[in-house]
Amino acid sequence: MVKPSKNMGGKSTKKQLRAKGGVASRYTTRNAALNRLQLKLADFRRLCILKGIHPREPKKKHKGQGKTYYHVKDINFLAHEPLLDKFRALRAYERKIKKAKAPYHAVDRLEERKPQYGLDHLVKERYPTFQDALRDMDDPLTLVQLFARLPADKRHGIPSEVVQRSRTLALEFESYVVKTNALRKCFISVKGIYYQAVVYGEELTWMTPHALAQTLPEDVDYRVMLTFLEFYVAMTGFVNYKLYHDRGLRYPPLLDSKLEDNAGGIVAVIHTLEDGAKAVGSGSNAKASDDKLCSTLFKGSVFFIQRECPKDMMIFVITSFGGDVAWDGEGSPHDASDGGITHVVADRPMDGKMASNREYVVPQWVVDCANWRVLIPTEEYKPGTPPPPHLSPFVNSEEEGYTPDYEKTLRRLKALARAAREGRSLADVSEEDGTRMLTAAEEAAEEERAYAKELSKEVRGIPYSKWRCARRTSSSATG
Amino acid sequence: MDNARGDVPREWYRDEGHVGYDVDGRKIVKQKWDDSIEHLIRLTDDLSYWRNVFDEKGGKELVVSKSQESLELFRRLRTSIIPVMDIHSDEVRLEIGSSDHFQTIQVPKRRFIPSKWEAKLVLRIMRGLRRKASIQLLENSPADNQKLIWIEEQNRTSERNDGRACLPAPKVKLPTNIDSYNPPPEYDCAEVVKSIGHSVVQKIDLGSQVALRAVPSYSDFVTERTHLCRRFQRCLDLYLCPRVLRTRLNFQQSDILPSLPTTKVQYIHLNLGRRLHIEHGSIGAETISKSPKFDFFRTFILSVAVHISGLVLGPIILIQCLLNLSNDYRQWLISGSADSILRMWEVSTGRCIRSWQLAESASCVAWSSHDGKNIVSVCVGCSLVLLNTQKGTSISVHEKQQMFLTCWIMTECSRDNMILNERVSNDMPSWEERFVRRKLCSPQKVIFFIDRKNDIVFVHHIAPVERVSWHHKGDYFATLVPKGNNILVHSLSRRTTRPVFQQQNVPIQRAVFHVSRPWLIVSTRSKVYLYDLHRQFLVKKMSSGSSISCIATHFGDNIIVGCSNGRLAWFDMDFSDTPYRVLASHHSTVKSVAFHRRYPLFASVSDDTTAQIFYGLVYSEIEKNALIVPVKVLRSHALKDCEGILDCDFHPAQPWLFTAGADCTIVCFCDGV
Repeated sequence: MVKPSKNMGGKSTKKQLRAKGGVASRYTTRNAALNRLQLKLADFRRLCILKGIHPREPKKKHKGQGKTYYHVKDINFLAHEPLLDKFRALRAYERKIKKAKAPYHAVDRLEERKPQYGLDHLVKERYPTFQDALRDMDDPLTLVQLFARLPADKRHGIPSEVVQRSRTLALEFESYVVKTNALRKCFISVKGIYYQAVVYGEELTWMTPHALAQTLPEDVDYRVMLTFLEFYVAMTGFVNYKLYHDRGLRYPPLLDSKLEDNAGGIVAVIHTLEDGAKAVGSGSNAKASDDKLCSTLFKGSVFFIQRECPKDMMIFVITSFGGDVAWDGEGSPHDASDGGITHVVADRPMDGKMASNREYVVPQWVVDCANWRVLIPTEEYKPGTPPPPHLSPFVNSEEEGYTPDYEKTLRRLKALARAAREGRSLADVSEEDGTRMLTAAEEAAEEERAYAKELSKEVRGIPYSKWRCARRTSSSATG
Repeated sequence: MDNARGDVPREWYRDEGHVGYDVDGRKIVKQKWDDSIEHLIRLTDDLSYWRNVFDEKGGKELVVSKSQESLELFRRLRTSIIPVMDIHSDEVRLEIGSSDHFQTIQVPKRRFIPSKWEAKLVLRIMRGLRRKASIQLLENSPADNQKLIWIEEQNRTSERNDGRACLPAPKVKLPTNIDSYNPPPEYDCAEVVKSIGHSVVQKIDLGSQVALRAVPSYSDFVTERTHLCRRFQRCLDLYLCPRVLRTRLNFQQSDILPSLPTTKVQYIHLNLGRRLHIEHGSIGAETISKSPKFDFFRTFILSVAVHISGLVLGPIILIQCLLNLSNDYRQWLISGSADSILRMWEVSTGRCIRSWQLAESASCVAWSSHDGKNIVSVCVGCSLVLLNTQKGTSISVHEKQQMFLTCWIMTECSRDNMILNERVSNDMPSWEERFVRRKLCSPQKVIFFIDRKNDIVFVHHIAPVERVSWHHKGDYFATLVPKGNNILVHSLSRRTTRPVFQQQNVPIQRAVFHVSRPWLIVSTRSKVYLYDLHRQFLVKKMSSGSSISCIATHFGDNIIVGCSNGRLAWFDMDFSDTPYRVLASHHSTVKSVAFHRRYPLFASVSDDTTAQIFYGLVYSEIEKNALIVPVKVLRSHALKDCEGILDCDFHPAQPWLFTAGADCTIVCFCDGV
């Protein structure tokens, strides 16, 4: 066999130069990938977003530092994607429409017969199991929630159908959370409102912006966001369908048109059982007590939401924790003067307007109660006065190494509530959590002891100030 | 008032203010159109307004009668249908070709042939019907979102099978207390404000107005804008950021540390710290203060060697010695300094017992034993002097002086071979000397002078002697002659000398005998060579990355090497040619390293005035690597002329370390028991 000489031109030389192993054979640059796939950059990006393909960091950047590297297998994977052909067909079709525009009147017909594609195979491919999809639901939910609150805008290319679809999907998901009492945490931050729900054992955290008019900044590429949204909408749709299907609920749910017109939010969603399906309860026994607590926290309370409060958020939180709501406006199940109303959620000073048989609270009370699973005394949460600090439920103070004062108070309240619920002593309950708290009786005994000590000093004729001084020095010495 | 404009087209009056002339020749003024508001008002006010028709020619409005016929007539006129009621449009047939008007238009061919795509469509529908499948008129149907794509899969794994590593995107950080709209006051401090930025500052300005409804007033534009922007950034991150799988190790600090031995031995070693100062010259002051020339306080101690009274051999013999000589238990330390005085110290008291005046400063001192005598070997100039310390321990000053003189003369003489015989014989006839000359391979010539009376042996070399190292049996010793670029191995009993190398081009730094094996370890600036003297071949060549300054051997298979860049390299001879561990402990040249002969300890001293003690345990099992733990950094010396500690040595039996500093002190670090 003749060894090919170096001077031999053409294919054989190229074959020799091709990398056989190592980094160079495993990673390609983006431009090389574009050439291989015969795609424009915009299409490539779209495809990457839909397929969930991202650049990688090779150990050695063989083509230079400033390049983006993709794994060769990822690119091969893209090359076999049916959407690639679809994209090519679409591009050809666009050309056809462009040509047809001038002399011919078939543009409308062509427009409505545009090639279309579905993303179900991509959802299935990226998330082989339902749990995988749930695990990755944070970003989809947040983006869908955001677009549900954005205005449709022609200039930025946000079509109204997309906004409408996201709104529906967001509503469906929230309604499911309410129906299953799956909401676990809620947090009002400056950036927006965070929610965390547990669905099938997965913690889904999403965020909604505050209910305000949204501005559309100019320096955002909406095409990128819309491509993400396209996939996320498809994914959320399938997830919602699966969630509803597993509960035996009809999908899509019916909407109460009257409530819907009055911006009733999740209250407008009417769940009906699917024909012939049985309602399936959440079967897991794990954390059953917490589940039960969550679903019955506000049970028996009827909250009247005044109009200055964020209605959607309040309804969502209260109803997921088992409460009943009424509001100022049309479609409300209860009137403002209804005798059954126990709580009024208000966010402005209510001096002199407070009825004696109702509790008046600020919205933060609802959220704090939900986070700590305890009905906190409402004195500090009176409208018009600054409420106690709003703590993040996502912080683990043990890991943080610092516990705010108010958290200690809340913990004590929680332990007290648990003790009352389970009919045990506080010390008993708190010992399980690791920190032993004193019961009322023990506290009283402690106080009694201190009092007796002081008394004995008094009998001996030691002035209180002197004794205190001495005690302070001794305590500082030991401390 | 009729318009009498005749056949004049209306367009001709377009730019005029009138529309024609009446019979009397007066201009008919153009009527102004109603604007839309007026039109609307009239439409609501005047019920018959919708029937008004504007007669343009006449320039006036006419009202069409309310009758059905007239209204229909108007409708037909307006929609360009034949106004006569009797004629229906389908009855009107235009004979093609008969009319002159249509004759010019060519009828296209497609009018006569059946449509092809319609035929295709019909065919497709037919086929579909035949298949009883759903007819899809359109080629593509939009994807049906409402279907179940995850059917119960119990044994499905979520692993992808396409061979690509799955790198899930990191989740967004969850908010903490600081992000709250109403954070605890301790999270509102000024530093936090500075670091977080704008929104929080504004919130603090609000003060007592903490209410949910007030959130927009401090975060309206900025935060909402950033919310969308942040989402956008997240989207960008998801598809543009390269992802790397980094395995993060979850471990405690204690997990990485090696398991330290927790026996009593360790306790002793860790308590190294008590200092025992030996002021150089505490006894020598009375003897040498006469001659101000030898100001020992301003001289360096160059070399230290520790010795226990008795034999200095392997560790086992030492223990025996201690047992035997328990009543006469004394330990000797020998030190040579730059003021050319060799001193012998008693270790436990720090007293200077003896001193010898040398012709030059000693460059190296070492203890050895031969025939039951403790021998100190000192490198002075071109000769190596062997002194018996047991002899003449209590000599008088006179004798001492004499002895100084002798030493001095001997060394002076030895510089010049030619006049040696005469001077020695003339000036000092009482001394018995023997002259041994051996011819070696040129140019090295070594002469042994032996002073029988004082038990002093001079081994004269041609070039200055740098270092001396004793074989553990006490008969052989090797001297390093840098100018001759060779190592000479001498036998004391036979008074023979052999060079190790025929020719050596690379300058040799150090040469030591192995503590227990017949090995000679030679180091050049960059490499360490291990020669088997028994079989006479090179066993191993090891390289530490930097230039070597000192070397010490373990009685096992380990060597430590101090480098001039402050590194300490531990070589395991079974392991590799490269260091098993490199300890970057000093930041200046390592001047000396030493192994303890009994305990698993080693020490290094450096020009940065620190001495460091390490615990170096070598296991007897081969597969277990040596355990090296730094124990303590000892600081006691002062820096003088950019030099710190020059030499160190361990006590042969106790965990005591002696260090000789450039500040003219020898310090003994003892365990704190």
